[in-house]
Amino acid sequence: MDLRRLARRCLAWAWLALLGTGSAGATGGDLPDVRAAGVLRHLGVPYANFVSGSGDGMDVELIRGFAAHLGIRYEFVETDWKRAFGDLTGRHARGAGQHAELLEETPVRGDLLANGVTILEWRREVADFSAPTFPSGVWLIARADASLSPIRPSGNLARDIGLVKTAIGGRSVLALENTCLDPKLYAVAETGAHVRLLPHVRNLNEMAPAILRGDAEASLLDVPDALVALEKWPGEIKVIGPVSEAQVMGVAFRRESPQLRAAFDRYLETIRADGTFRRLVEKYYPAVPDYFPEFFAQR
Amino acid sequence: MSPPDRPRAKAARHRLVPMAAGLFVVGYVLLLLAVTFAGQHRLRELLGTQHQYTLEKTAAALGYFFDERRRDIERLREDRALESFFANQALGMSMEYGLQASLRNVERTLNRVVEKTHINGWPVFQRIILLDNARVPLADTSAGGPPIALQLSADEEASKSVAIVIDRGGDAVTISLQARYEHKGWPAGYVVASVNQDTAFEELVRHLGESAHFELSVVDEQGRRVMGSGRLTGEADAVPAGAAAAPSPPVSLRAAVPGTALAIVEQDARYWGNDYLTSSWLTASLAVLALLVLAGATITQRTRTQNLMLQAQVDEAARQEDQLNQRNERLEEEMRVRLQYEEQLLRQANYDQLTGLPNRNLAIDRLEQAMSRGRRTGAQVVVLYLDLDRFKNVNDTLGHSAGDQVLLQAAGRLSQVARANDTVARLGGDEFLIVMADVDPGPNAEKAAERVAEAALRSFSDPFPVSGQEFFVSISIGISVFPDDGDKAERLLQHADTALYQAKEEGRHAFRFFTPDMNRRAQRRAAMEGHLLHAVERKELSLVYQPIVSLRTGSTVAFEALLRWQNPALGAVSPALFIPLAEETGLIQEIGEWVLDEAVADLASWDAGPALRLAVNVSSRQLRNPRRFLSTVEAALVRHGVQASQLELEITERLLLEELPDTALALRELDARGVRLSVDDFGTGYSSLGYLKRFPVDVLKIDRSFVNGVLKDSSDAALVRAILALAQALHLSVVAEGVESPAQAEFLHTNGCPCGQGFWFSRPLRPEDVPAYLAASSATPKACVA
Repeated sequence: MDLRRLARRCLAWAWLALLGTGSAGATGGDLPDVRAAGVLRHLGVPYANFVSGSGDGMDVELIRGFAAHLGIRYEFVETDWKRAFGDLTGRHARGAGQHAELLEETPVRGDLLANGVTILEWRREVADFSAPTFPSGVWLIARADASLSPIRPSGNLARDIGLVKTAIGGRSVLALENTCLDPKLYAVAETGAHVRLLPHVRNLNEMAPAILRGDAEASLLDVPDALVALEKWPGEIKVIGPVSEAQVMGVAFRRESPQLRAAFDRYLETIRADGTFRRLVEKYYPAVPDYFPEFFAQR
Repeated sequence: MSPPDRPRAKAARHRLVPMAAGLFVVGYVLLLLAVTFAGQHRLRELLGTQHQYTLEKTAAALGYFFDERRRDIERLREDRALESFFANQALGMSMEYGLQASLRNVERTLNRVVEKTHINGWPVFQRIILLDNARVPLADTSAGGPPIALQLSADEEASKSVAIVIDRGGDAVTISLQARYEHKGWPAGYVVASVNQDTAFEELVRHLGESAHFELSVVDEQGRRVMGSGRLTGEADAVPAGAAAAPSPPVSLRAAVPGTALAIVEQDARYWGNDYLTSSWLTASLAVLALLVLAGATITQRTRTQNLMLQAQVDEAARQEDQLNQRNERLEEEMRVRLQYEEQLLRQANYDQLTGLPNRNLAIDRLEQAMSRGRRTGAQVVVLYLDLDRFKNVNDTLGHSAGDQVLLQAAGRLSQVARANDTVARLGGDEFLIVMADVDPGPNAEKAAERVAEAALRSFSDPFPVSGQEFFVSISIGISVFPDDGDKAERLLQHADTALYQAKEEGRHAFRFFTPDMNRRAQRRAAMEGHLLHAVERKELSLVYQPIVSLRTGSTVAFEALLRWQNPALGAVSPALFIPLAEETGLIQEIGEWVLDEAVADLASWDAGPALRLAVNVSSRQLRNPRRFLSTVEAALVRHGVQASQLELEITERLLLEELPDTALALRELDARGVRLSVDDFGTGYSSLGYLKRFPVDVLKIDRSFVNGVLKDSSDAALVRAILALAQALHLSVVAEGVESPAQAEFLHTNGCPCGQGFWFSRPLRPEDVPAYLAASSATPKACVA
């Protein structure tokens, strides 16, 4: 996967989205406003090791560092997957396939959204993303004793995805809408798998426990979460194979905060160069670089 | 023990003591050495035991170390990371999708174990490898390192125990812990952890502690070296694998490492701890040292002895020096004293003790010097011989200390009188000399002498204060002049003395120049003296008797014995001359005794009856020794059978006036015996008559001078009458002396004078003529009482 192409596509869509949606509900400001306010509001959904929910996490530290870089106060604003983008842009939205569906307006509660947010097509329609901060992807996991067996990698991602999709036909697969585990993103339904969208499952880190409970045979799970789950329940969870192409995560900004975003990109470059970023990764997701070596290769 | 033996025995004893001491010391040293040997042996034994113990303790430590390592591996085996990996692998997960993460975890775990397993900061594991069943390394902390061969026996594989494996493949021997890994009961792989030998050895060394310098090796069952220590450093050196094949040196001590097939061996027991203490060299050197000490002690002893001897010598020398010093001091002192004495003697020889004036010797010497000077220069020398008048009286009455005072003062006065260059000397007694030297010749010499003499006389005009009283003392001076009166010192002195005598003769308190005439007289006097000395024995003395007649009856009452001296050379010498001389010389004593005896003998020979008395003149000199005088008188009376009442002693008034206690005593004694006392020359002395009370006087003899003028001089007559009256009043007898005419006799008789004596009555008779005279005179003698 070509992240550059992806980035360009994101940008293009972002502009379109901006044109399309106008600035309806945009009550937040750009960098000067943020500076003037003296505080950087970090919207975050507790998610895996990005935002632990107890004050730390890779993205928490990342944005904290960004606030320090800007020389202003850091403030964490908790949110959830449903309203995260609304809190950022001032207008709720949800993914409908590859596109976003705009909903009611809502007050802006933060200046950026960072919690391992996968850069998806529909999300790009509502917000602008920074340069990619993390690689990702979506795997299919299953309970260890499930009859589903991990695929034999063919060396080709697309083919491997195909293998997986073939394997899940007729199985119950847990998914979570509005997230990167949205089944529509990956045409899961077309595989013949029975997609289960459990209402009580609201967070990604509930996916693994759900299948362990037997709520479904398999589940979509993003790589970071999958790695965490593997560590948490060694021998109880197995990875079947990939479901998505390589993805990236990034920090979401309002269309109206290009300066802020630019500042963040600069910040990101800096910490990637001086090893701070690597240290964060090692701290929270030491296994990930093994899976996505190109992402973490020093440029 | 006889004396000769004692020193020998003593010496032997003295030798014995140090010998015994030496033997004792030697014995003691030998004992010490023996003890040392025994001690060393025991020490070695103990050390050996201790060593073995240490070794075993070390081996135990090593065993424990390996135990711990086993546990480390076991813990590792149970690590979740491994479990997850194998679980995931078992689940069929692929590396691409999920297994990689597990593997990474495993790697991280292994690394953590390697990094974090420490002992005292030393890393325990060098490398840990996880292998799969196919013995393919899955995770390796030193990926790329040399492969470690798995050497688990079937039992070990089966038992899943952690084995300690010695791998000799490769460059060096490695010790690794290897164990089977099972996942859910199924063999899944192997865990191999290679031990850091340095750390392992450090464990060894740590437990050795101070014994860390001896050579240890850790060997396997075959005795091949696995780990070894360098000599004395305790550092492990990786034993090259090739060396393992070499034969190992002889093993002294061995301790099996528990829980392993290893053992700790010590190759060289030479370098044990405390080797200094246990070495035989030490003992040998101690022995040598002991000998040295002994030798040293001997030398010290000898030196000490020598020192003592030296010290004794030094002390002795010091003592002798001291003595010498003392003697020297004493000698010096003596010399000082001697010198003092000499000086004193010299002084004494030359100076008068009392006055400090030059004495006779020095005076003569000075005189001679002056004379020789005079001979050269023509100057004259005047010699003044001075004599204190009646000095004897002062001495006798006031005592010698008073006399000395007077002499001192006299010396002082004379010194004042003399000229500066004159010599004033004390010749002795009360005699002084003034030598006037370098006198201008001619008549001036006489004038100068006169001046000095007059000055001297004047100086004595003041009284001498003595003992609070004042006494007048006069001097007489005799002067002779050189060269006129002689050219020899003795001669000059003699002549001056002669002149002095003349001065005395002529009334004292005067000076006289020597004349040749004086000399003659002096010579004469001297001659007379010489003759008088022998007068008694040569029977040149004789007595004549002058009758004392009663003026009333004309009968002879008594005879006065008068002394006559007929000398062949001098002829008849007048009593007026020789009696004073006799008194001066003391011959009077001898003569007086002869007179007494002779007179009494004569009286006895006359046989004239008890009424006839004998009057004998007595000198006060004779009375100086009253006892002698008394015995003389008594002897004479007894010898010749004369009664004491027949004896009458005549003493001149002057002598009585001298008031000497001897006189009074003697007279009282005589009076007690019945001897009569008459006062001769009565009236001539000038004193109070009080003495008439003091002395037992019986007769007063009127001096002839009064009798002589009784008819011519009215005062003489008055005096005679007064005397007669006095005598009468005092019931004293009176005899008038020197009756030469009948008129005188008549006068005397008229005035009541009982007796008389003189040429009118008779001139002195020879003793043989007395009986005839007695026969011729009529009537019986009666006493001369008026």
